[in-house]
Amino acid sequence: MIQAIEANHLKKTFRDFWHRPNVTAVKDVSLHITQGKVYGLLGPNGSGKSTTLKMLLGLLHPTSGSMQVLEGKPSDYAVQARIGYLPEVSTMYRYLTANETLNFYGSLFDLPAAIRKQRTQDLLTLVGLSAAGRRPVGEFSRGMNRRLGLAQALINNPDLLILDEPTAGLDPIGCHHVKQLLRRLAATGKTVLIASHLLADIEDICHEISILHHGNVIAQGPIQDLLMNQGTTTWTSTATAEQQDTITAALQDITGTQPEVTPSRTNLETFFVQAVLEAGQPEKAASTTDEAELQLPAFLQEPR
Amino acid sequence: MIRAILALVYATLKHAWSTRAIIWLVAWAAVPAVLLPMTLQADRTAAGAHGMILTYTPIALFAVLLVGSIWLSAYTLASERLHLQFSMLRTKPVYGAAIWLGKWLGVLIIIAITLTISVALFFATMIIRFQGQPIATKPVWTISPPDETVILEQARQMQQNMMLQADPSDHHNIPTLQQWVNRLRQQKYRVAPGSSTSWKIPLTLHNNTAQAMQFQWRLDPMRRQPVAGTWTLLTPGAIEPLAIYPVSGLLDGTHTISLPQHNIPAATPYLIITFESSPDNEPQIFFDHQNPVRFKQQSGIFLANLIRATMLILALCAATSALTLLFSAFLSFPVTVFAAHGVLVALLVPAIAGQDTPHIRHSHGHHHGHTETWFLTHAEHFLNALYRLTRSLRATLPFRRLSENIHISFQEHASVICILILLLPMLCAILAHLKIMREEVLS
Repeated sequence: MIQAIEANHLKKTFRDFWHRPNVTAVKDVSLHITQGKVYGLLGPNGSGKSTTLKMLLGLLHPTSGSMQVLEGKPSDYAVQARIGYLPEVSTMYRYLTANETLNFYGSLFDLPAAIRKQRTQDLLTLVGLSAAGRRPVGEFSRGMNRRLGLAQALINNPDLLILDEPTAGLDPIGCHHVKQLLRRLAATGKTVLIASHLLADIEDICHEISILHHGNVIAQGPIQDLLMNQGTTTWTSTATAEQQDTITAALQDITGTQPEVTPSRTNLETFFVQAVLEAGQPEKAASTTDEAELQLPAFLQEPR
Repeated sequence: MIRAILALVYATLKHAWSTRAIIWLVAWAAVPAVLLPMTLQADRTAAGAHGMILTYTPIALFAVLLVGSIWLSAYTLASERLHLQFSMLRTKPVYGAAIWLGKWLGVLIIIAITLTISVALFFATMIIRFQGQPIATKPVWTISPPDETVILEQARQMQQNMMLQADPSDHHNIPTLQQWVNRLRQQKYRVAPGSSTSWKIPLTLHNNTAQAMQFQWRLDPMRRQPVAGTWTLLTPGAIEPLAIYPVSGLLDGTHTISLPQHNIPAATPYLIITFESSPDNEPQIFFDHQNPVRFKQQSGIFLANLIRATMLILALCAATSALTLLFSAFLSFPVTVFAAHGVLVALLVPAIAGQDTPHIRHSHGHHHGHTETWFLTHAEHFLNALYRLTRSLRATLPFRRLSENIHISFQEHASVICILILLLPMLCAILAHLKIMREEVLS
């Protein structure tokens, strides 16, 4: 298994003007992220998530510890060329249009003009901004900014996506869309590292997570393992009311306890997305909720 | 990397456009470029309207563009730090030097556009205001300088005559030889009210080439009032004058009269030019000994000189922008602006004022300790280097040459231009690269 990120005992101490140690934002963080996985970094405010991300991006130098990102140093240009980054707040130029923004970031990756043009169109379509290509970013809503930010993070067809709060500010449909997209990207072999406060989003899409608290990792591992409720098993079946009584009686006979029967329900996000899309664009409702229908642009499905 | 640099140049230009910075800069530069040539009048004591306009307008443009270069350069990088776009750039595979270079080139293009527009406006305004008159001239016919040996001989003779006539006890009251020389010169070039003086001007070039007549005088300081008079041009043997030019309301200084087309016979060896001072004048007039009257013609190098001066101004703005961008890689926006203005004032004020900073001599005091001597020696070296730099900058400033219509040669300025537009930005780019790559992005 190829490790996309290998970080061992990272520590970051910020110093004041006189170079005296001031705050230790990250005390001991180790991350081992396998290629092709979606990895979540959770934690309350001030837990060291953003500092860890910045160290992985080469924006901050760790005080101690070692790390390898895509088998190189984060500050190497060859490594940076394979990373897509979406910061927590929009850092795009307000005076550039959406087309110009993607063209600008494509140029920073030294992509030829024809490829930049094609990818700009593909990505704007992918994030649902194809109609806003000529509008300045300064006129965008926060949700549109996040979508465009995600598009710029994908312009170089990255092997590693580092996303800080990717769904913050998005409406439920946008959230749903982004989560679908990230799952599809992971399926093509890309590694996704997400820092977020939105636990439901992380739970939906991440294979593994780390929870940070006061600069330390307090829980880490595959999300299924961490969320497993020991001693309780859940069966899922489709049964009529009569069959349900029979099954309940049989379970009671076997286990000796009265089983709890809960009718099947969808989650609120799925319900909301379905309801809104059926009301507005019924023909799109099915495709948006059906993950298999989300078409990635061709360049994102190809290896770099 | 070229693509990244071009993208950064485009973003810088778009930023300047969207914030209207480029429009304001062009407007600020256009105001002196148009208003000064339209409104400046010769005050009858300076070297004429042309000289004033050609001195003050480029200096005003230069000042506007220097300040513009500083603010644009500081803002283009500082605003990106403030709005976190800089941290985004750092996550991309772009060299720090390329980021710096993209910003610098963007600012340079803005300055070049502004300078081109304002210089074009300036030139157009000059053409409109001085329609049909020579904007910049060079002398074609001049009076031969006075024969000093003749004057000296006359002075010696007059002194001897007086000594012979005077009582020997009064010899100490007889003027010295130098005083006699001065007196003779004054007599030759002095014109009392109601009197006149004449010169012969050899016609060395084609007769019809003169387009302006320039005369230089000072007035009796005790009775300094505007004077009037009449210039008369006469060809040898002619009874009717070739041309008569009345002048009035003139004070000390250099004055220029535009000459209409006149027909001087082809073989005319010289012109006789006479100035008749009006009887109503209060002061006596003292013409300049060396150049009382000169005939001038339109100089073909004016436009070329203006273009070269523009290039020199651009090179100086480029250097200013490079230094400011370097500062902004290290410092915050207000400190960058303050530091850049400080350096500018330290370097350019002595240069523009034309006063050399006194050269510092090495002190070799015996009372200093080793460390103190080392410090003083190096401090002196630094100050002397600063002095040389100031002198070089002063030599590079094109304003005097432009106003006096002296050929501005790029060969002369090649080394300074190379430093300003190539070496200095390269050095700044390297230093900025080292800083940007080592810098931690906290926010």
